[in-house]
Amino acid sequence: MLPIIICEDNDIQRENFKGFVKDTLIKEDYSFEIKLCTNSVDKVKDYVDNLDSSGIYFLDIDLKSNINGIRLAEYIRKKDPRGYIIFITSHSEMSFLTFKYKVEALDFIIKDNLDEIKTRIEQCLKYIHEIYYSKTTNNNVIILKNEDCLHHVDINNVIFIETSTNAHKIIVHEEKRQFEISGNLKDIAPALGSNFYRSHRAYLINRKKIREIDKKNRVIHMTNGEKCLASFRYIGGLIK
Amino acid sequence: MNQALLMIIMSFCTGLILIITLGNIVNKPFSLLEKGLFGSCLSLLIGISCFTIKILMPFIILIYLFIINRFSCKFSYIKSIMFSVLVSINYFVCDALGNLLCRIIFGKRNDHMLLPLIYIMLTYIFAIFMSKLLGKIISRDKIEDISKNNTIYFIMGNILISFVIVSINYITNKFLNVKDIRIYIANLILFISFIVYAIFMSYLYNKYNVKNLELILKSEELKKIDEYSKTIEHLYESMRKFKHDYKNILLSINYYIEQKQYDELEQYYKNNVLTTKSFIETNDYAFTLKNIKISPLKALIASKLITANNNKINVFVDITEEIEKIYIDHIDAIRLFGILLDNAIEACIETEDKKLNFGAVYRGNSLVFIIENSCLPDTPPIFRLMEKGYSTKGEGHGMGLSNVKEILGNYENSTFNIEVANGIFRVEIWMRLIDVNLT
Repeated sequence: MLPIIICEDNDIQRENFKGFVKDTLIKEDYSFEIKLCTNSVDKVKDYVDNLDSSGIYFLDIDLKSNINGIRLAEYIRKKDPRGYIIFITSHSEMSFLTFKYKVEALDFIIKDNLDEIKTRIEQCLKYIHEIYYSKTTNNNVIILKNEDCLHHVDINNVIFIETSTNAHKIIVHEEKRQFEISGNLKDIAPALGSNFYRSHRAYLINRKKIREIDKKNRVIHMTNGEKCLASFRYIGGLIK
Repeated sequence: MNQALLMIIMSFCTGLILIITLGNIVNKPFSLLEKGLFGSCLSLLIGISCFTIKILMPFIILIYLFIINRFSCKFSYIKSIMFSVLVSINYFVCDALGNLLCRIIFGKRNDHMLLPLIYIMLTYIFAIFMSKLLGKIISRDKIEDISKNNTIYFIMGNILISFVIVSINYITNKFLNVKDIRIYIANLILFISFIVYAIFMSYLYNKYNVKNLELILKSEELKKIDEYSKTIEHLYESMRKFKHDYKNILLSINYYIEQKQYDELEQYYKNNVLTTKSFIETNDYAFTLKNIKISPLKALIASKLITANNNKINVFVDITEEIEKIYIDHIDAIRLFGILLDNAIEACIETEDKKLNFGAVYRGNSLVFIIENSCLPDTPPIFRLMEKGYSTKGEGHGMGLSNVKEILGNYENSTFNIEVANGIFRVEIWMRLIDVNLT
């Protein structure tokens, strides 16, 4: 059960949003509940000070100024690291990158017209419902950290991991993205499970993503087209 | 018998030394296999020419080195010729030096057992040392290729002159049948001082080049800041005009309301206010980089984003906190963002959305730069784009992303992430804040 918190200083709009959320909850029968619907930043802060579980937050950033919105969201994020923060704002130019990277906001809804807002609220709640339930049953998602950057990684999406030219860093390759994290292949291997095989000093590959093994040149072709190396010592273990 | 054996050994060593020094000078050291292979081939050729037509030997060496340069190292014709000449000259100079020193050490004992050995060792040591030095000088500045070529010509010229001096001295002495060792020593000292002088001059010239380039960069930067200021002023002007028009509109609306002329009000609203609304929504030049406090960076980014704007790209800049320091070298940062923004602009020009977002956020102990651009659905996969030399734009391109990776590889406090999702290409550069005094 996830609590929903709404913070919006315009009374009419606040009632509107509350209505939209309620409608969606009833229609889709999500097990979420509106716990707080207020215009006061302090009440939200008090709530997060005493919270007992992660929540869903709909915030209007225009609360006085952009900076206040950031501060409030940062505060919430500190107290509720896994909560879902969604911003609703009339700025067509709001700092969505800042919010996304500073507080990992889930989404931004622009107050253009009421129908749009309703649809977007529905979409957000649907998305949260999907992740929330798949997260609790999905053991394949691990969190990889690189200093201040958190990556949610589904192990099944990882094609291979290689060492980076930067010392003490490794590069994770997925189909649609690549990112660096600090660490080394040896330490991360246990967390990834038995499908991952260390084929080379610099490569840790996902067996399920192997397309073809070139034994002669000791090169492994992965499903996304990339090539990994295998060393003399380890290629034997792969052929099996 | 002994002579023949000696010649064979000498040719072998010569071949090997030439190949190794070649690797050092062009800064692309050969693998063991390549060294063995190329070295033996060359030694063979030298040996053959030694036993047959001695005069052909230098030519054979030059041609062989040229072939290696052109086909194995893949240099252009001019560079191949230059490098083969440089390597040959380097070798002959060091050979002469070795010869000279041997004379000094062994004097008249021409058939001393150790003579060939010491001779080869000395030549080898000098050649390796000189080639490494030359290699270092040639690759010193990382800024422009043009100045690199100049430096090479300069060094080549110097070495050529030294070689000429040495040869003339040697030949003259031989001709005059000079036996006095002191003349040779004097020559040696002269020669060494000249080499030192030449190297020193190259170094100074290099420094001058670098300074010159810095000046050029600075003036470029000033031009960009100029362009940026003009843009801001232009924006300010349109803002002022808008405020003025807006005030008028409000007054008119006020008038209609006071007069209770609601129909006319509706007409007025439809005809005048709705049209200005479209002005609010078109974002021409509506971005500001006022939070970037680093001048050269601001200039570069402004210039790129203005170009983007001129190409009808929707630019959005999101920098809400002041950035006074970045934790990588400024020149590297400029190259980095130059490449990334160029890529972004080129990619999103071809799309319908034409979105380009540039943001910078402090998160915890790091500063993240984000560049997002809309991209076509048939964008090649990420690893392809990162390959050196891969490009959809033809020859000479494709160095971008691999260069970015190289630049960032030098900084252990930086991280580079790429993602392609839902038609948006996103690059993140994370820089951990460190307490180091960088420029």
